[in-house]
Parts: sequence; structure tokens; C-alpha cells
Amino acid sequence: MAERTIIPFGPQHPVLPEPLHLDLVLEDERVVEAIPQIGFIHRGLEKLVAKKDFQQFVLVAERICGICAFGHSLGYSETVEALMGIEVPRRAEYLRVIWHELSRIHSHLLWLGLLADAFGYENLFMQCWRLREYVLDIFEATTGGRVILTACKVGGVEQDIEDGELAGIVRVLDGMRAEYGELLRTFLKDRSVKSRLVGVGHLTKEQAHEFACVGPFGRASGIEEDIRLFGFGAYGDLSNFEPVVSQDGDGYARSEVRAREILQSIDIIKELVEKIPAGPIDQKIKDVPAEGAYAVSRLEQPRGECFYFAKGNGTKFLERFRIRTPTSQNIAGMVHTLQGCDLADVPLNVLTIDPCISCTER
Amino acid sequence: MDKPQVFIDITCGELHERVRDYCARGWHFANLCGCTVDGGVELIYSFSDGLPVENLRLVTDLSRPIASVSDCFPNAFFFENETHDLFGVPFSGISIDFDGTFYRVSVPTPMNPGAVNRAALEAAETSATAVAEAAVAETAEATAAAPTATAATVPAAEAPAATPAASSAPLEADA
Repeated sequence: MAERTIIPFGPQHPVLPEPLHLDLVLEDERVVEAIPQIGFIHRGLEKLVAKKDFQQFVLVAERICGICAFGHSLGYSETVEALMGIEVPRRAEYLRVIWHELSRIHSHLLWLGLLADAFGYENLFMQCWRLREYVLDIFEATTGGRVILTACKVGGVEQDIEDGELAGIVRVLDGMRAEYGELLRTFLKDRSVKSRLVGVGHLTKEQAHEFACVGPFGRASGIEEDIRLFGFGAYGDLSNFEPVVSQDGDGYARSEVRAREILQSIDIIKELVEKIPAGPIDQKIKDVPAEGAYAVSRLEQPRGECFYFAKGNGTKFLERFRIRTPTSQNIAGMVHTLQGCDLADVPLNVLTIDPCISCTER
Repeated sequence: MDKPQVFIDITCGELHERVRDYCARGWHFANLCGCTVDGGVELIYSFSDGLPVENLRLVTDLSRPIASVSDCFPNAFFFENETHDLFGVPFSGISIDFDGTFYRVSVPTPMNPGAVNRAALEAAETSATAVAEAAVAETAEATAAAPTATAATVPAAEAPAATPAASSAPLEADA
């Protein structure tokens, strides 16, 4: 039997945008066991619900993560609305989904760029991030912020997008789609990309189900689950929605799912812009969450299903608010994909779940 | 469409049986949330199967460990370690047990400061018991060897502190 060695991987590593530590037990160059360790950036944000008014806390929720910032403010707002039985105006629901799908596009482009950088394709990395700038510019034009949008609030949204601006967004996305086609071809057809991703970190459908993998990580292994399918909010008005799924379960399948989801998000935004109704964008909140009221809510974030929990106590402060992020759900599956892989494939394997440790530790 | 809200109150003893049932029916383990309440911590276990979500709600006084559900749902190890570190809830049998080192927090159990005092109290009581037992044993030995010798006392600081996992068995039934 080969001699076993333990290699510490992370929390500082060129391929890791955020601090994740792994103890890798190796036999020669092959990983036989991986023990994850997080906890370097726990900020105690959930504890702040005791000090922030439930309407103010949406600003804290948005700062949980810089990439799915809007998603967290939306998830928090939807949970509190479920807790209090608040009905959100239809136009606000449409605007929320438009911003959320834009967030998905920018998150996936960011991840595709990081992936390209990880396997040494720097030009592809730069092109992905160049396209991402279009989305950040839309954010800036519609909300004033490029990362933290402060667009969502309990009961609706903070600002409207005029119809002319919505048409402008569609024009930008149409132009972007043409440019993105070139990148998509590279990701899906280029030999150097395939040679680095095909067969890496394989996870079967049964394993993905056992580890309860969510989001593109699970869908790349054939799990046909996407919270958008259930038709919450404006998603219910889409004429057709099919989750992007692959059966291959390797690193290439994960990049393919995310790459195709960008086109799907563009289609969703275009359809909603055509259908968006006129009307108010928010609902006045006069009450506070009732004592002993509980609510859970789920949202399909770019990285996968995010689970929210809230409990009221009859005051303007929530008793408890909890976020279970996609990364915390996917870590068990990621650890499994590491077992048996080569040491050189560990960084790519970790990256293919699109880990967000800031979200996970909150 | 309204989001489903199903909360079921159970006792600690019922937990594992219900979790096995969800596992057998092919549901996913979706979340474990701790919440401080009078006299302990409320734990909410959430399970999902596509659209339906069910939440099991139980209250533990932290006196005995909760049996881990990571044998049924491997991804639960993450949440149990987190709940242990932030709320001081003891779990037994976690598949990957970090034993309190999962999160690097500046104060122990920051979401439930009361758990620190209770744990310290239990540790102190265990030490006191260990000291007393050691003293009795030494006295008996000394009496047997030399009837005139006096029993040696063991300093409290040298007594071993019991860990929650080692001090009691998994919770089988809730009173």
C-alpha cells in the first residue's frame, strides 16, 4: 500500500476566491479522503435580527454575499412576507424576478470566468468578465448600485423601472447574447476546455440525490430540481420553464448547465418585460410579525436552492432568521467527488460546485 | 402560489424514527435551524421533496446529546456541527464530528450564551464527582495498606473534564 500523506489545501489558494480549507489524505497523487473545514469568516449576521428592525434587516441580508446580494434580499423579503401574510403587487414580483435573473447571469459569467482562469484559459476568463460588465451596468442604471442594489424591500421593491428602460435592458441582452454565443461555443466545443473538464469530479444521479445536491451542481448529475419550476412569484407567469439538466455529472456538465442557464435567464427576462403589468410596486407594512409565527421559504439562487427560515415574536425584531445556503448543502457532495481524484484536479473540483463561503458562514 | 408551511411538534425521542421515515420515502434533508427558547434550544429540522416541505420542531434542554441524523442524511453533518458550535447543542454520532472546532468564533456558543454556563456547570459538577470518587478510592486503598495513613486529596484542576459526548449516551426518549 502506498504511503499516506496529509496535504492542507487552503484557506488561501490561488484558485479559491473565498476561504475553504481541506485536509487531503493522499496515496501518492490520489486523494483517498478529504475533510472540509470552514469557519474563518463567520460574521454572526443572523444574530443581527435581534438589533435591526425587520424592515431594516433586508439591508443586512443583502450584504451576506456580494454575488447573490439581490437574491438574499429577495429571499429574506419573501420569508417575512410569508410570515406576515403580505401580498406583493404583481409589478413588484416581475421587477424582482428581472433583477434576480440578471444576478444569475452575472453570477454564472463570473463563475465561468473563474473556471477558465483555473484551467489556464486567461483570455476566456477576461471575455466572460467583460460581458458581465453589461449586467453590472444595467444594475447601476436601474438601481444606482453595481453590487449592493438595495432594490428589494419587505412588501415590494424600492424603485420602478420605466418601460423605456426595460426595452433598453432587452436590447443590451440581445447584443450580449450574440457576443456570448462565441464564448458558449468555446466552453462547449473547445478541445482544451474539454480535456480539462470531461470526467473530472464525477457524481452520479443517485449520489447527487443521496447528498441532496442542489442547483447546477445537482442538475449536472441529472437531478431535475429547480425552485423556479414551482411558479412562485412572476415565475408562475412564464409560458414554459424547463430546468437545464445534464446527465454526465462531471465538471464539463456543470459548466454546460451554467453556460446554458445564462441563455435561459435572458429568455425569462425578455418574456417578463413583454408581460409586465402596470401598477403599484410596493405594499405599505403596518403590522409586525406575530409572536410564535414561523415561516420557511425557498429561492433558486444562482448556486442552487437557498432555504430561509424566520420566526416572529410580536415585536419589530424577528426572534430568529436563518439562511441555509446552496454551498452548505453541496459540500458533502463535493467532498465525495474529491475522493479518488488526482491532487491536480482538486482545485477544479472545488470550483465546479461554485462555492460561496461568505454566504455559507454568514 | 403560496409557499407551503408545515410545522410538526415532536419530542427528541421521536426524531430518529421520523427522520428514517423521510429517508425511506426519498425526501431531502433541507435544513437544521436552532433557536434559543426558555429552558433550552428549539431545533427545526426541515425536509423537502420537490414542492412539499415539512418541518419537525423539538425543544432540547441541552442536558443530553441529540442523536445525529447524518447516518440517514450525509449532508446533515454540516448543520449539526454548526448548531453545536453556535448554540451549544450536543450531538452524538455525527459522521464528521469537528468537536467544537467547525467555526472559529471569538466567544463560545455565540447564539446561545446560556449554554456556556450550563456546560461549565456540568463540567464542574463532573470534576467534583471525579474528585470525590478518586478521594474515596484512595482512602480505601490507603486504609487497606496502612490503616493509620490519611487520604490524599486530588486538586480540582487535575481532575479530567468530561466532554458532553463522553458523559452521556444518545438521547433515546424524552420525558
